[in-house]
Amino acid sequence: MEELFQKIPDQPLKQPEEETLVPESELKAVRELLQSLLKTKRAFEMYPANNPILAKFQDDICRRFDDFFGDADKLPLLIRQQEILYKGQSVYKNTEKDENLALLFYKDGLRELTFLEGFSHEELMDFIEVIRAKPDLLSENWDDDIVTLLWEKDFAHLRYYVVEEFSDGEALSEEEVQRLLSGESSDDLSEAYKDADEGEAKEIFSPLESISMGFKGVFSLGEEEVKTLKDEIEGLTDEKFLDEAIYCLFESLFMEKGSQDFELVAGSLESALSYLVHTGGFRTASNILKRFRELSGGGEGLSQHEAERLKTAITRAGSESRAKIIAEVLNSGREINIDDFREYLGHLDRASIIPLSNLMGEVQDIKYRKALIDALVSLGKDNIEVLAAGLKSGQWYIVRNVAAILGRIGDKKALEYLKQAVKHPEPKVRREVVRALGMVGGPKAGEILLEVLDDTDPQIRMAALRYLPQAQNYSVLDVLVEVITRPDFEERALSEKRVFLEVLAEIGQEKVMPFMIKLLKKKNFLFGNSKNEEMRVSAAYGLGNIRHKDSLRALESVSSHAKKGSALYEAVSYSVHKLAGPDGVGQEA
Amino acid sequence: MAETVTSPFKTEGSGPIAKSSRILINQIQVLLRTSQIHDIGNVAFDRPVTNLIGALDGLFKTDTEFALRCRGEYLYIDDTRVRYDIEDMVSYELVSSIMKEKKIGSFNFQKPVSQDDLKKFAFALNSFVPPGPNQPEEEFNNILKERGIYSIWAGPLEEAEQIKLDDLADRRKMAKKTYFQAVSVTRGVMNSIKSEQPTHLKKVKRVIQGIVDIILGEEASLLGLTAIKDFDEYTYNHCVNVSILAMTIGQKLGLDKNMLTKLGIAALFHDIGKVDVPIEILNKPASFTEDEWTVVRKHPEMGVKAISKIRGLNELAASSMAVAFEHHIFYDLTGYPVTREKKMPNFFSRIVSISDQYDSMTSARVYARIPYSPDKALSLMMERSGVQLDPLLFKIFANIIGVYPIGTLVMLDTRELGLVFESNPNPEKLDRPKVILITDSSGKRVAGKTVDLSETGQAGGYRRSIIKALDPKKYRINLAEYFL
Ligand SMILES: [Fe+2]
Ligand SMILES: [Fe+2]
Repeated sequence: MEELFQKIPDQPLKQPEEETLVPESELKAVRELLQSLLKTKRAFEMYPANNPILAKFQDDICRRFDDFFGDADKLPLLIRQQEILYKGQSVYKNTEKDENLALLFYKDGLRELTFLEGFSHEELMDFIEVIRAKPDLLSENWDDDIVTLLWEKDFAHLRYYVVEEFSDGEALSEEEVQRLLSGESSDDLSEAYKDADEGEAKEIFSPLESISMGFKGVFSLGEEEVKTLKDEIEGLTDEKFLDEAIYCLFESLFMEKGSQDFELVAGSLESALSYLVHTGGFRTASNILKRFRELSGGGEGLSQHEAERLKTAITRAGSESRAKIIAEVLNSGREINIDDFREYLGHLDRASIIPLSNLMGEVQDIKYRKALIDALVSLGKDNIEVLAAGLKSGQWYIVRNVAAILGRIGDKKALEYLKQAVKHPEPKVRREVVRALGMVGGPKAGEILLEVLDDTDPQIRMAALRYLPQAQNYSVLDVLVEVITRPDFEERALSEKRVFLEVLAEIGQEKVMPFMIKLLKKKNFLFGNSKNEEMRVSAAYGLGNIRHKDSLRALESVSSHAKKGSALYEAVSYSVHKLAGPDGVGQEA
Repeated sequence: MAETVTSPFKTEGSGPIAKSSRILINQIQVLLRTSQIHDIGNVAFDRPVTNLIGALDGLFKTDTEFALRCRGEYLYIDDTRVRYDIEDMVSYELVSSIMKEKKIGSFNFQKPVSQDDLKKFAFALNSFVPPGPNQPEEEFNNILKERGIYSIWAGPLEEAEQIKLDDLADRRKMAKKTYFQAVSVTRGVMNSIKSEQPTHLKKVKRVIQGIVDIILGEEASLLGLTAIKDFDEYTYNHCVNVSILAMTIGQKLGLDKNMLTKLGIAALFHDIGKVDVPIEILNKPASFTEDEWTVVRKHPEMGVKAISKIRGLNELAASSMAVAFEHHIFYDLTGYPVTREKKMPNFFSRIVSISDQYDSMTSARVYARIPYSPDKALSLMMERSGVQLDPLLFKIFANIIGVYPIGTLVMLDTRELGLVFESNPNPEKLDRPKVILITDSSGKRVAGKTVDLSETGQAGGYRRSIIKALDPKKYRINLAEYFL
């Protein structure tokens, strides 16, 4: 426990400077503890906070502190520039400039550091947080050092001693202070006595009067008043202050209308925006963007030039470099309100389209990716050509994402761009392009989908096929028939053949019925049973899509010959069932 | 210069112990009040007693015994100072003043304490009249024992006169050092802004943290220093004074130390926009012309620009920006600058408005060419309370400054002259501040000895009382001589 009126020490608590007898085992423990501390600090600098590897370092340093305090009640460390001493003995020495624990403490003025028994794991983690290098992201805003941070954390079991260095010319010397303060002081106060006696001296508002009012008087607060103050105090959050500052900056911006300093204040608002994005403050950031938008829209008395200035700021808010920061923030594991983030994105302009599409490959969390896609869909709607430029990206995932967004938008204008991506070397891209084509739909999309029928990836070919019926383009029929009648078509997998014939039937209906029936009935003994059988099976499935009585009749006629349990039998039964069912073509009486 | 940053005091923050401590003090006050009105059997006791038992249980968690101590103006649980919330201000000050009045330094509680013990204790304390200087706590303990209370006993008031004076000297030395560090750091920062050099705020933060440590220990030593004005031709001295006054208000409001630091920095920079106002205007001996006023009135907005120039925006800069911009807007929004969107100035801005007005009015260089005496300034401000100034915050401020503001020259009934050094935190004893004596009863100059006007003599009456307040400037009394 602290002494009641413990004097503020002017000198550091004395440590034996001379060598005393300290068991080697004790020194070794301290040495290893400091090494472990340094390693843990480094690990926390290298890995993101959620990396499991950190737990290992954390456990090690916690264990070492616990072990040390098993035998001792304090761990006093004397800090020198390149060395740390414990009980007069060197326990850490490093002459390098980097990664030097002694120098790290020394440079901020720390000269002594004493951990006390009871130093908890929580305090230890706070301590590591204090000493670890801060992310560069915020370094320009950094107004703290180890000493100010130690003070803020208010450690219960850590004492430290600091020297404050004032550079020359900064400190007021004792003499200067005296000179500044020297005023003549009269020795003769008889005048004061005279005034007092003659009643010249004014009495201030009567003290007795205010006191008689007691607790309800001028100097006391009522219950309601206390509550009002308490609410105000509770409202003093960082976010509130940031909002206040933004308010001041916007007010200043207005005051600077038509002045050169408009640029300065606009710049401040922009850097505020950048800071807010850095720290994940998307709510306040989107308020800034919202006001930028309102103001740049005119009608607020801003000059053309000034309105343009704010538009530039909006453009920069979605720039490549800002997008990188957004990615870092989103991936940092920091708590971010998704609605605020969505709102921020919603205020960006078309210049952000490419940077945001690039972002999608970098952002890990699906919920942010979804927000990005939604934002791009709404931004891209009126800017198809800008968005489509992303299809030329060298990064396959960007091309894929842009394709997906174009699909979501569903604008036919996108087709000419998608057409260029349909032969992309990356299958994941081609699959997405096919899906996009399907979503856009229409005859033109159908034409492009046909190009995919020769894709090397059967999955992609099948995907393209499945989208064809929506294209409502009958010219595709010829192409399909051409592919089906190729001699090597039979070699394809049953599943693909089936899709081909199903799609052909679905689009062609009666037009292709004779062709289909022919296939169903065709027996070819030359090429082993199986391949031919698969063509018949596929045709059977396909006929199930032709809502015509002849189709049903053909199926039924095969059904009687097909071997029960065979694939053909199953396919025929399936299609018969489909056509003869309550919603089917039925059988004429 | 070397400076220790370690705070000698531990202030309990927000843990369960802190909560129990606060409830304890609060409910003791309720209990004492109840026992003045009701009989011991009254149901009105049920609530405070139950609450107290709960608080005691919380405090007994770590030990079977603890002490509620009163030292100086503060209350402690064992050796940890109880940090109060604004809600507890009244009970906190009442309990400490009762303990001082009854000349009891601590109440010790030992497990188990019964409901009956608490009630009887309250009645015993209410009717207790300290019998003079000899061990009043023993007298009180006898009464407790007579009434069968063994779980509560009193400890001596730490007749800390001697220890405290030494300590006070040290504290004053420390305060003085910190004060001038603050002035020079402010000078450094203002100069670097003026010359557009990179500005380092670490030093500002450190020095403000140092002030927070002192204020949380005992605010008076620094407040005294704010009574010394106008020793630099710029306004560094004013900035530091406003910062200290604002942090003192913040301390009374129960802000935590990090919040106090933020407030202190914001207050220190409130006039930062004046770096761009020509020094000839700032120090002009006559009143401003219309044009000069226009320039001066721009300083809040210039402040916003200056802060964003040096730091852009971060959490620290944000509160400073708000204060720099709003400190002249006022509670009733009648000040400057005139804004497009009307809104109540930020809480910090309103605190700084009050601190700024007071220091400006009592200084020669800021706005008023002839300074007001402290009491005149305070009564003028009182008229503005609820108009230009936030009335609630003004109450807090008035409480700190007291009926006789720090720096007021007072004539005592002993015919000694004194300078008010520290106000009495007990609202019922606002006319009994601490005073530095500068003459003896024959009018001869004496080396400043500090006396507490709430001190009573053998007969029970007050030893000294104020009969008149005077303006020290009129008699060429150099405050620095006494307050440094
Ligand atoms: Fe000002
Ligand atoms: Fe000011």
